[in-house]
This record gives sequence, structure tokens and C-alpha cells, in this order.
Amino acid sequence: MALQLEALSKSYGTVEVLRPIDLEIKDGEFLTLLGPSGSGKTTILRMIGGFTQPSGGRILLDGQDLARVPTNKRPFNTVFQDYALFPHMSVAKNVGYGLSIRRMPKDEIARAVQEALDTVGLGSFHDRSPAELSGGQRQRVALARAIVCRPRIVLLDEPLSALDAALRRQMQGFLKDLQRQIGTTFLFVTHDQQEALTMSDRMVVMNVGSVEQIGSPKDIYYRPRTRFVASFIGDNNLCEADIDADGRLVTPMGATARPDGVEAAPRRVLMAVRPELISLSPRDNALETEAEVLSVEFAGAGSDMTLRLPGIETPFTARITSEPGQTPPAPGARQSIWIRRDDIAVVEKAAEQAP
Amino acid sequence: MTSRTSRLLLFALAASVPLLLVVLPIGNFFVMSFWRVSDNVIVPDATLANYAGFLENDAYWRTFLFTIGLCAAVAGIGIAIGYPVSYFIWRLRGRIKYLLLLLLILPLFMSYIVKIYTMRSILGLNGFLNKFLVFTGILDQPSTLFLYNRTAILITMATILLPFVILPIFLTLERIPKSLTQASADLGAGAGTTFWRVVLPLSLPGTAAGALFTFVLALGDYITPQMVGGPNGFTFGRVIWSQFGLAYNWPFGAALAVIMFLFALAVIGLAAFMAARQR
Repeated sequence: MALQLEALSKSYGTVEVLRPIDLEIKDGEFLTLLGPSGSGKTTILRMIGGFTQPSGGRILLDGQDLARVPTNKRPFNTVFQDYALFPHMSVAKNVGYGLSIRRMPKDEIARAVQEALDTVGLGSFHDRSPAELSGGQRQRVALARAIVCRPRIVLLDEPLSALDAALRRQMQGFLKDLQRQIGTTFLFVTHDQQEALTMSDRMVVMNVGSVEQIGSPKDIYYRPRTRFVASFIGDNNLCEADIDADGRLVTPMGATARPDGVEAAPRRVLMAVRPELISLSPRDNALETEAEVLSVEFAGAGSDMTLRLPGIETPFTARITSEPGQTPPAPGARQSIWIRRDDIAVVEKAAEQAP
Repeated sequence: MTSRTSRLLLFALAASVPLLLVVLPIGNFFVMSFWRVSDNVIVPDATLANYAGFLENDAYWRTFLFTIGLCAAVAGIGIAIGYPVSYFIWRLRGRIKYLLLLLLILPLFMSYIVKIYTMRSILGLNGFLNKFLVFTGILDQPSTLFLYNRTAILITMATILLPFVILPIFLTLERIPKSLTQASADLGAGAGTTFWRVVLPLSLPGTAAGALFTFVLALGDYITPQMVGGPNGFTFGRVIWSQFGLAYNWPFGAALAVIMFLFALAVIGLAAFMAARQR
């Protein structure tokens, strides 16, 4: 147990930007807050950093309330969205800023700065001015500056959003490796689900000021619990289904035993199926149905097939692997599909509370 | 008309305004500074006598040096008052911030003469300042120290020119991203350290600009010294004015004006050079 948020909330006047949230951030984990803009994810980060005052609830570090601890006394360091490098200082002065405030001897600062710059791969950049650096390099300097003071938690506020796609990918891997290497807790805020899935140990999916789901990337991806999570993360096919009195899952494609971990109480639910989990060949323990092909779109690595399923209003998308010689079914053709029971995610309708 | 000639025409049109309104009058002065006056008639000549006259008569360059010192003091007082004021306005939040700023630069929209008379009525023997000091018991009786002397020039100029200090300083402060002061706090710095190590260095350009504005404006001001300076408050601006208005020695006045102009240029050039080196 490192950092605990207890019923932490934030309102501006009558506008509630963050509903009371409980969250535990474990030592050494890479935790991501994922959500669209206005979901409250950055507000949480800023309250932990001490830049924004909470309206309610508590932030506890090892059981100690941080309410009266100002930003400069909190053992956290932030990587800001715009990097916030001091333009009038060299790279080395930027990185050593926090250490010099702690009155560390000059030679020790120099050593620590060198080590931090080496860690981020900018070992020979001391005397450069931030203006002379590329976006990716500034990012690394900001990172070095944040880790050099050995904070308990590194807070990262959408640090990759200003980078182009290729560099972003590269930085994602780099950040993850760095976090593993130094073992420091990273709290990462992003609106990019791909980024969150790639990097996180655990992720918190947020929407309009409240937490939708907390779990590992695999959990979140394959076992979404709310409609928002099912549709926000990756692509999903959604339709209504029921749990009947016998505890079976009744879908428009037929009934099957309910997937593991789903409650038995009879009710109306939503089922979600990932496009890549719809199979065109027979599978065990699967629902089978004959669909009508509406269109096929070639997309390089795979093809997206739009299918009309009997009894389901919204067409489903199936992602099938493309092969050079293969001719995909023409629009209008009938196509049998299989969906494994375990590949169906059951989303509670009750969990999708209206905001 | 080809695009080349039309572009030339456009350039000529654009260049003609500063040429006619700035370069020509200054050039006129420069040329006139080599002329001389004989029997109240200006004679076109090519003499350095006017410049020699300035250097030979120590009353002139003493006044010149005194004026430079005075204007430097005006700029210094301006910064000493203007910087803290700008800083505290900058730290305010919401509408009050811009309201206060507007209030402080409001005198810029007022007539110069009105401002000087206002200052006179504040600094005079029956003025607000004396009444206040007597009322609070700091002085036993009204003092004549505040008007018709050098102190009066200093106080009046510093007050009137204050908006020219506050505005550029406030603008550089506004340009400092919030994330920088937050990053400083995030890295462990208290408010004081953040000020000394982040805010102050980043607001130096605006501070220098404010000081420079004030200095150069004070240098050229001859009305304020005339109105509040009394017999002791003889500044270089007044000397120049007297050459035109009283002595009717325009060439000599022109030479003195050229000297002051070159000095102001040198100060601005030096400031620009230092700013460029810092970067």
C-alpha cells in the first residue's frame, strides 16, 4: 500500500468534475488513468501533485494525510504535458534543479545528473539549451528531471500527446522499460487507449468524472464491465442478451452456458464480442449462426467484414486475417460464423448509470 | 505594370512615411548642428564649433551628466516600485487583476500637462503629501522639499512614467507559462526560490525594456523639469529648449540635441547587445 485515494472529489462551484473516487496505487506499479477529455483523470493527477485542492476526500501516502503538505514537500515529481523545462537553464541545470534545492553538494549533483541523463539516453546533452532540443529530447530531459530526485511516484500528464506517431511508439516502449528498470511507481494520464493498453500494469478507465472500471489491460480489453468501457477501448460488437432463470446466457444466436464470473441472477444484459474473436470456421463451445455479408473492407493486415446477424439490429464487424490469394465473400453472400462462449463479454446494464 | 515595379512602388510608399517623418527631421537637425549663428541669423556652414562649445563649457556637460544620473535614478525608482507592483498584480486571479492593471495604466490616456499640475498640487506646500505627513505626525510643518527642486523632478518623472515600467514587466510575467512555476514547486522549491531562480530571470527582458523606456523618455523630457524643477532643476532638456526658445541659437541647440540623441541610441544599442548575448 503506497498511495490511497479515499472518496477524493473535485467540484468547481456546482460543477462536479470528479465524483468521489477510491483508488489504491501500489508501490512500483505502472498505473494509467485513461479517459476522454473531461473525464477527471488530469484532475486526479493534479490533486496528487498538490496543484489543485480537493473538494472532498483524502490522499494518503503510507497512511499519512497529504492535505496540509504543499506541492514542494510532496515526494512526487511530475512530467508536464508541455514538459515545462526552464528555458533559461541548460539541460544539466534543469535536471539538477531539484537536487540543488535540496542543497546537495555540487559534485554529487553532477554525478546524479549524469546518471539520469545516461538513463534517458542523453548523456552528452548537458550544455544544450532546451530550445535546441527536439520534442522527443525535451520529453527525455523532463523525464530525467522527474526521476533524478528519486520520487516515490512519477506523475505523467499526457507527456506523449505532443509527439508524432512513430516517436510516440518508441517513447511508450522506452517509458515502460525505464519504469521497470528503476522500479518507481508511475502514474500515467492519457486519452490514448492504445498507449494505456501497451504500457500499464493496471489501468483506471474514467468517464465524465467517475471511474468506469479498474483492472489489468487484458481484463479491461476482454472483460469490460460497462458499455462505455466496451465501446471506448478498441472495437466491439454490442447487442442485448439475457441471463435466464436457469442462469444461461440467452443471445439472439442461441443460448449457452454463461461465461465465468458472471452472476446467475436473471436479468437483461449486454453482450460484447471483439471483431477479431468472430471466427469463420467451426470452434468448440461456440455459438453458431448464419450471417449475411454486407461489405468487406481490405485494411492491410486484416479485412473488416460487416455482417448482418439474424435478430440483431446493428451489424457486427468481424476482423479476419487477409491472405494474398484469398477471395473474400462477396456482399450478399451467406456466411457461417462462430463465437466462442468464453469470448463473449457480459456487460451489466445496471452498471451503465446515466451521468 | 510588372510585379517588380509595383513592389518597388509599394516599398517606396511604405518607406516614405518613416523617411519623411523621422529620418528627414533628424537629418535636418544633424546638418544644422554644423551651422552657426551670426548676428541672429543662421548661417549654413561646416563648423564643429557647436560641439567644441559643448565640450569646453563644463556647465553644459555637468548638466548633461547630472541629467543622465537623474534619468537613471528615475528608471531605478521606476523598477523598484514598478516591479513589485507588476508582480503582485500578476499573482492576482480573475477580473481584479486586469482591472488593477487598467487602473495603473489609465494615466497614459491623460494629458501630460494635467498630470504635471496634479503632481504639483500633490507635492506643493499645501499639497496632499504635506497635509498627509503633517496629519500623521511625521512632519511638524509642511515641507518645501517636495517642489521646485531636483527631488521634485525625480518624484514627478518616476510617478508619471510608472506605467511604462509596469506594462512591459507585467507582459513578460504573463508570458511565463504557469507550468514553469508549478514545475519549480514540484521539484521542491518554495515560493521565494521559485521567484529568484525562475520568475525573476525570465522577467528580466521586460524589466530591462521598462527601465530603458523610462530612461529614454525621462532624458527627453524638458517640461517636467521646467514645471516642478525650479531654478536648481536645470536638466539637459531644458538647456536644449533654451537654445531654441531663449537664446535663438538653433545650430547649438541642434548640436546638443544630436549629442543626447546619440547617447540614447548608444544606451539602447548596448541594451540590445546585452540581450542578444544572453540568449
